[in-house]
Amino acid sequence: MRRKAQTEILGVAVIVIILIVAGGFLIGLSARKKSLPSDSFVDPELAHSFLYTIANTKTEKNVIVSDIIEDCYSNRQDLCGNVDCCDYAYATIKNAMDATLGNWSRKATLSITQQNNVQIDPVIINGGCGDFDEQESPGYYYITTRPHIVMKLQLCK
Amino acid sequence: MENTFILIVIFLILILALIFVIAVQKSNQRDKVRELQELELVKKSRVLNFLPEMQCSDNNDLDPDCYDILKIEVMKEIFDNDKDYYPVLLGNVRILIRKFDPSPEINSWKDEWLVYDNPKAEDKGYREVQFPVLLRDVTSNSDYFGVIYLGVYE
Repeated sequence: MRRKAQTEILGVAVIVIILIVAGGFLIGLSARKKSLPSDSFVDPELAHSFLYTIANTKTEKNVIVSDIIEDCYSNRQDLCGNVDCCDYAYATIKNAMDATLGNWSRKATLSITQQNNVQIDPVIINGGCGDFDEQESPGYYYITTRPHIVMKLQLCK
Repeated sequence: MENTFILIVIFLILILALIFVIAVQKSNQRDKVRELQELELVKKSRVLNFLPEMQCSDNNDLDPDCYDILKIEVMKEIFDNDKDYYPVLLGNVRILIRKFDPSPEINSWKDEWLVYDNPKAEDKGYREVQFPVLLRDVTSNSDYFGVIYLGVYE
């Protein structure tokens, strides 16, 4: 009789353990942050519009940012007066990113490259994009030089 | 006695499972509502993209990422006076455009235009999406960095 009762208690314990495991699994699934369908629309649009806007913005030097970047990569450095054009471009882009993406608590990394040549350091906001950060497709803007200068903006969660 | 104990335990487990299922369903419902609200916001932002009234144009060639400052100022007056067409087209939204100068010498917000604001009678919340846009001043033939804030009243 006592042995039978022990077996029944063991059965109940097994059922309870199975239910706890199943419950934990379901809680884990529901707690996972789902990406909203709008994210796949908003992020690429945001990256594209940011790059297009900053590249065509006129600065206090009376030249647009893409011309300053082009000047930096051409090593002419004659558009920015006594200031280094690469530093000027970096500071301008960083200010724009801080005022917008930084304030909106977005992690972002903007890189500017001409093939493998990097004259301007990547601009990193809120820690930038890590290898494992969830992200939509990045935005690109091409400055038409030979070879092209590519501005790439990654936005992460 | 043992059977009663087992039945009580099973009932307790079933009640806990029921509570859990209800909680998960409520959470799913909340997610669905949030998803619909986000989609509404995206829909409104598309309407804004197809508002040629404020966009820059060159020989009728529209640039959707650029807004003309002179047109913004005129449209603000038209929005203020219009009570029929735009409230139906745009619904309960708020459109704010701000100009920012990122040049290292300046680095500050310059001007802003509250172009359109049509809140609901009862306040049930507000969601906002922001996009950088180019602001063109045709009088000086200059393009500036701007941000358009589109808010939707829920």
